[in-house]
Amino acid sequence: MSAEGFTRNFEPLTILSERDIESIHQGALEILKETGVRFESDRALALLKANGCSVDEDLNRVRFPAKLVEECLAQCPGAFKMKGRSEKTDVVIGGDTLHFCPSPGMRTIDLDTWQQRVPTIEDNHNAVKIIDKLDTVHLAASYTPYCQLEDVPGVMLLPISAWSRMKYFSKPCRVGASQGSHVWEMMMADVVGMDVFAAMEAAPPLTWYGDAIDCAWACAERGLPVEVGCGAVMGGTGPATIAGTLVQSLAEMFAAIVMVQLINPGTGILANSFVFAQNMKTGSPAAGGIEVSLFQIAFNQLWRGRYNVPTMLGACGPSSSEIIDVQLGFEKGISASLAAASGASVINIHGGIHVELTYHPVQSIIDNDIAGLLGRYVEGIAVNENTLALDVIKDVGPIPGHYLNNIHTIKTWKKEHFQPAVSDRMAYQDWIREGQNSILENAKNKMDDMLAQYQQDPPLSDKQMDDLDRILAEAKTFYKNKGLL
Amino acid sequence: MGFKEDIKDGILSYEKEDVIEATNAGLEAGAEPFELLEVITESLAIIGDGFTNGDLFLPELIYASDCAQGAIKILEERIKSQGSVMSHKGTVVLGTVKGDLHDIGKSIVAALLIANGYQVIDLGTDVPAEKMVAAVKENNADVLGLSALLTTTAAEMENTIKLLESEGVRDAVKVMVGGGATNSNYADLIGADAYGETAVDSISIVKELMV
Repeated sequence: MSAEGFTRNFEPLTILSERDIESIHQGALEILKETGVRFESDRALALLKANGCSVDEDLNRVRFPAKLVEECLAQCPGAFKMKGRSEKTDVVIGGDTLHFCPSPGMRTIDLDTWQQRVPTIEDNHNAVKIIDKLDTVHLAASYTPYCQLEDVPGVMLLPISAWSRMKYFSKPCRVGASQGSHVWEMMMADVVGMDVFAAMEAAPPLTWYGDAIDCAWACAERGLPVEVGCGAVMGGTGPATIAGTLVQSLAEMFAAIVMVQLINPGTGILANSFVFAQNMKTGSPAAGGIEVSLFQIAFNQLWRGRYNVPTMLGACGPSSSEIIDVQLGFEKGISASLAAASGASVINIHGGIHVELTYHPVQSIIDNDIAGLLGRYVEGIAVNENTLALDVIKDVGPIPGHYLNNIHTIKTWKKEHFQPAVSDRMAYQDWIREGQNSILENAKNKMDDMLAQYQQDPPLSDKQMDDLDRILAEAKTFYKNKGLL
Repeated sequence: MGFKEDIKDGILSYEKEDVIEATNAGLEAGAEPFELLEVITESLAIIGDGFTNGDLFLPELIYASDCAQGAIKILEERIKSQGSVMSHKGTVVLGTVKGDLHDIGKSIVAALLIANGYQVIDLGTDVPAEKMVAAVKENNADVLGLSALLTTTAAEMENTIKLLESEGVRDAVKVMVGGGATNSNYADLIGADAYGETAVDSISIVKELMV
């Protein structure tokens, strides 16, 4: 396993008929033409108007001709490359490849009492060091892994989060989008020689705010990819029906893609869904629901199949469970499995626990096993002369023949059989003798080992470390002068 | 010197033919069989350690011991032809009892014991008591290991122990039992000397039984 990700070797699972796909596509075009989308950005309004959109300046509402939408969709590449801090962490997102990304959370959680706690900057560094060393983590979102830090004002969260990652995470990162944080984040990425991609996430229904637009604009201008995200809550900020939320999400995303492709044709797009269902009892998003998976299967089918645009599924990581338990395991496992089966390019899974409220590095280590297992799954079944093993079967023959002492087994089993790192695979007797540890204890022990052994790879120079500190200090001064600190 | 490295490399990279070839080359070049045996023992110890600490797995363990066994046979013949006797930490006869065709658990035990420097006479599966007892006598075995997975065949273990007694060799050999059909109570009941829950247990059991 490496940053190469996992190559899917079979046709992905689909759920929509050709007629369904066309109905949803035409529905989105109809919404864009008749209702339009709100853009909170004068330069975006001007750009879209100059390219044939109808713009209502009083309402910041843009209505799109279908032809322009189709042309811009056709400009999105099927795959794009991003540089990590070294060749080993470069990624090519899209095509038939599956990559994984952490699933952030607001707070951390005490593994004994299950009480939530606001993490410290040190907690953030440690959590970042763990995902840096997990083979199945290939990239990270902004505010990874924590969306809140002790004694850090909100406006400084993203710059500090990026500063922590640029020091201790060697894989491509997303930047933004709040209060122009992408400016500092991009400067930091330049210091360490890493590519970044923009966070352009819709405010549903049908709205794009200035922060998301500015962030996408800055990345697109530099030829960096843009993650265009939809995040409606079905029944709250989107229709309760899956098909309806698909229509609305496509309309939002088409509008953003038109803007990005007009800024820089051919810019890489990562179509992200963090759509959840509404928890109709509490009003919060209901993570882990099967309706979210149904949405995601269709989302993959539409973006990968109809538009040839790589997808990111941001709603697989969190569960509705408050703790690391069976519910968390089955909700994450089912959701991520269906995402992988239906052809996701990136699945956000590592570390997320309760909705998007909690994260723990121990969970990221457990999720490394899930991601590895799914990676093996998408690679499928190789059928060739060697794997058919006719000569070996003939050679071994009936009982008492067996395959455990056969060179064919040594040469093939590690590729064919996935070996989890912390899942319990012990013989019962050994498990009793060694303390009856569950996956949770195994992952805790692994975390301690990983932190004790952590080294930056490749190491950053003193100058690079100082430059990161300097940029962070500049950000602080900037926000102070703006009266935001 | 090259052939010693070749023997070691052959075992560590699971190249059975290379190990045989390097062993023959070593003998032809005038090496003492005992010094080649030492290289094999050292290499198997690396494999055994790798398995115990989780870096290597059953296929590697079993195949490496198979690789070594081929070379050990060649060396054994040479030592015999020189009029000497091969020395071991001990000799263990292993077999799955009559009526039971389960080979894998017993083969794992064999591989682990070989990797730990014991001479292992593996009689295979479906082994009648008479054959077990004959092998114990012929090889002057220190330990007899009996395996049974089926509850229906476990009774054969008792028959084998009874035959050891009636043949007058019960005191000369220790008997260990293992496999899914057995447990420590059953081992006591049939008069075995030890019971192993897992294959890895066999290493410490044989060591203790040999004291």
